[in-house]
Amino acid sequence: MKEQDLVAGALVDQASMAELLRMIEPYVFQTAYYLTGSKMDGEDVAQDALWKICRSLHQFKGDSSFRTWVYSVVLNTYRDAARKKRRVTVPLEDTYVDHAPSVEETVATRSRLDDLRREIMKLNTEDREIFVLRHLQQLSYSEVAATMEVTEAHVRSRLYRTRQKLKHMLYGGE
Amino acid sequence: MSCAEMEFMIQRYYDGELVTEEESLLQAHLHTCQSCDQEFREFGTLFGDIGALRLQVEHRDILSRTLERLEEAQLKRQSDRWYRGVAVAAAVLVVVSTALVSWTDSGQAMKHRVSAFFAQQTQTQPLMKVEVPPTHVEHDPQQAQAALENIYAQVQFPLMELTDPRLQVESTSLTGVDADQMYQMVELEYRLVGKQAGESDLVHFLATPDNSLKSRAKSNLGTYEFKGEVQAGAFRWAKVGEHAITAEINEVYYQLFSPFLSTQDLLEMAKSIQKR
Repeated sequence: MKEQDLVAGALVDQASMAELLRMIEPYVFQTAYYLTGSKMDGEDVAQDALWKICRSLHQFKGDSSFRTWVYSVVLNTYRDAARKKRRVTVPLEDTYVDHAPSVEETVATRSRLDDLRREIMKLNTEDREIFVLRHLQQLSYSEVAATMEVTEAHVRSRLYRTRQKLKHMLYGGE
Repeated sequence: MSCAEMEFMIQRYYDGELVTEEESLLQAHLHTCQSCDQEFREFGTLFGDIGALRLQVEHRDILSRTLERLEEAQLKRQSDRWYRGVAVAAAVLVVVSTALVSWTDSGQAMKHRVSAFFAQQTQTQPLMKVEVPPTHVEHDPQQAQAALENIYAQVQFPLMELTDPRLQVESTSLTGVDADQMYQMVELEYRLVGKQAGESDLVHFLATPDNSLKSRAKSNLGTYEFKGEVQAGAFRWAKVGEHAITAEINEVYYQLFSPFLSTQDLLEMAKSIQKR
């Protein structure tokens, strides 16, 4: 079914709304989880974002893709949460990154992936958002740009620099 | 092609963006340049590891909670509608009954029935939806003052007030009073008294606990351009662009904006902000 029809259906009918939410919930949570680096914070942000999506669905005008719109709600919710959190808590510590290891991770790559996760959490908000959307949610460069309301060139240049930095910190020999 | 340019090409390779010609160009260079070949392999490890970061994480059931909340909101809306229906029906009955009294001249019996009806109605009175005092006024200083009082009575977040005596409120609005919205937003327009009539006298004031509502504000500025933080009175304000300042006080975002005033003028007014 086309996005527009799904949204239109969800606005008038509760069952369609439930179906729509069921469809987007996995990537709403995943994004929130990757952005916050914590399962619990990710759940809170995702729940808040889902609720905002229900409440403001009528504002989705269809001039962007629905997925892009959903991501932008998640990003805004995350930014608000991060701002509130920053005022009451100390800066992120390494232990902040709690994660459930996947079966595929061997012991050897495990510590390397931990390092990578830690480095990602140290990125500034914008770079982390770009990284998460592009790599962990596999959006195209133009979709990332549309979600964040910046140019595609900006997304590219930020991400190229981020990857260069990550490579240098984690794998650069010298 | 230089090695610096090659690095971009290597990243684009792993993004899957190279066309065949570019790919052969890259391969040829890698055969001849050891440091780029090293780069290529390091980026390969990075991109491989990034791929391994994607994982499905078990998490608590946030979907059901959202659906429950949706259900509750829906029920509340339905009952609101029902109350409104009752109120309208009652009003119609009153009009009809009154009309009957004036039509029939038969006197006591009819009047008695009508008053009995009123007595019954008063019992259901508390269920009826109370009329919400008006909060929306445009360019009317007298009414705006009254509406501002109504806003203070209805607002659900700690709303601070500008007490600069030069500012006279003349337009007001409060969005998000109904259960359909999660957050409220207050927008006020002040006239700067004492200025010569003409251009430079309107100041827009916005307050909301949810920053994302800003995009729907009448005086929405679009993208902020951060120009540094300044102390004004008891709080720190950020200059955003040439004609606007913003601050977060007690988890509420405030924005002061005037198309003709400088941030310096606005900061002077911001000094006067205080708890009502």
